Amino acid sequence: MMSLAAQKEKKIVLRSSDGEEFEVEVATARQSKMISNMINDGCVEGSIPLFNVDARTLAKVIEYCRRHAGATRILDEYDNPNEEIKSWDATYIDVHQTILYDILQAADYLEIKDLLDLACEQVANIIRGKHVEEIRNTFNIKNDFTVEEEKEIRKQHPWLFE
Amino acid sequence: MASDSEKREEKQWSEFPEELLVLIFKKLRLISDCIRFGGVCKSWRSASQPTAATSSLHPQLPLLLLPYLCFTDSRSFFSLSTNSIHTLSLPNTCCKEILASSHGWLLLADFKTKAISLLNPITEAQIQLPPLPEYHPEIDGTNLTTVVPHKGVISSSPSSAEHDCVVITITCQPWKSHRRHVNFCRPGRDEVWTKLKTSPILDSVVYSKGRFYMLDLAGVVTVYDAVDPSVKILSLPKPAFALQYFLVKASETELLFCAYSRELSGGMDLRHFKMDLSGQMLEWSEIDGIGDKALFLTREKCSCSMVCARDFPGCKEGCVYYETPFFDDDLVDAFLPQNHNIKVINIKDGSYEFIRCAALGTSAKHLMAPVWFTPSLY
Repeated sequence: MMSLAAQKEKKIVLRSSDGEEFEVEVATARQSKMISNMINDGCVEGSIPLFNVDARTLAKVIEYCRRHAGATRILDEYDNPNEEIKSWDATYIDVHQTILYDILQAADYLEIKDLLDLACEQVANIIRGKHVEEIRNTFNIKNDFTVEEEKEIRKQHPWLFE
Repeated sequence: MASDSEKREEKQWSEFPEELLVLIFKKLRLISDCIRFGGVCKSWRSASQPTAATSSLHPQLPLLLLPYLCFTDSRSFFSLSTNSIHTLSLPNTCCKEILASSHGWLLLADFKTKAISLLNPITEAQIQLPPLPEYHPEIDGTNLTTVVPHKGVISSSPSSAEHDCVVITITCQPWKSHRRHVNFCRPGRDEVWTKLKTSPILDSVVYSKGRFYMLDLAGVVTVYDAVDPSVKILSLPKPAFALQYFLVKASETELLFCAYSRELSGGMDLRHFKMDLSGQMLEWSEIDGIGDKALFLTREKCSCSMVCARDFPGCKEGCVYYETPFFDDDLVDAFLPQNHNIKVINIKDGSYEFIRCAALGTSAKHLMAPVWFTPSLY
């Protein structure tokens, strides 16, 4: 076992689908269960290619992992680190739907459970209280129901479509 | 670059992997959000369908099904979260009295045919129950055994995979000083109702893990076993004297006994006792309150429920939400019950406030008793 300090010093290189390379601390990379498993299996020589994550998304995901690995966190400055990180998370995830979409898929692919959870909660927050048409507009979704299907759905729960 | 981002916009959320859509769906708490989610497009609808993965829906805040005219099919629901009324046309409830409401289901007694049934008004699923003995289509003045349904109990969702639902009806005998009778049946398993021994002044019943806990108007709880309902297990005297008692199933292993009185000062005196059903000794022990929960009670029908107040913005913890047809401490309003209110009582200090939820109009005296209704998709 490496000491924590040694882990921090050691860096890992992640390569995005569009070829950009990111050097990250081991503790940061280990936030991803997938990469953590690769490290444990000893297959992280050179850089790790991530075929499903582009540079923009990877940069954003690394920002999250670094924060949650404690690499850039100054705990002592705050009385309540839990509240502090919650408010950091809230600011972090307050992004446009297209970025949220990419974060969700990346968090799922890289197996970063807390980030996946945070992103799902954020999508749910956007949906809450909105009417069907508003949800479609927000997420740019086409109504692909047939006229009959739409009628049937509206008939079942008319008060939701008022 | 522009075409790339446009393409990204286009393929977006309707083609999102279903397992991720399910994760998002499970984050939604209110049933209205869940239903709207399924109305967006085909793939979202498919992610919102009841499967093993989604059946663990979040607990819902109950809606108050307002007093209704029995012979119409219009039923209005007051939502505490939006402070508004939604009126639904529910043809399957026309001419039926609601005897109980829990787990998203209504127990209904048909005035005309005398049939007893269960209905989930959200999914429109229905389950017919056996005819209730002595409940006749015509009330015959010469037949003194005739009974009328008074209220009922639905122990768990009748559509659950465990098939452990027990439905209980409490009937009264109009020709015998309203003596109470109790029958139970298990939907889909029993073809007849089984009669239970009971106190003539029975108030309500709770069923949990093969046992019936029957509360009478004097606050005494008598316990019977479902396997041999003729044998009384024990009787528990009331733990405190009060004007009104309620028996609530807090969980599968805990009962809550509520003893409520009005104080001369005008405030409410609310005492609570719990009983651990998995413990060796069945006995009441007084508790300080209900913690971060909110308790929903109705006076006439059985539809009580408890939720964690923190899950619902605006819902007050440690409070009882008591449906009341009028300001019961305001005589002027009592004689003119044109408004329907929810009394929100703080258990700690007995103080209370009212949420005015509906104007009932002039036909108030013909209206049937309201119930709390917790919507469910299952």
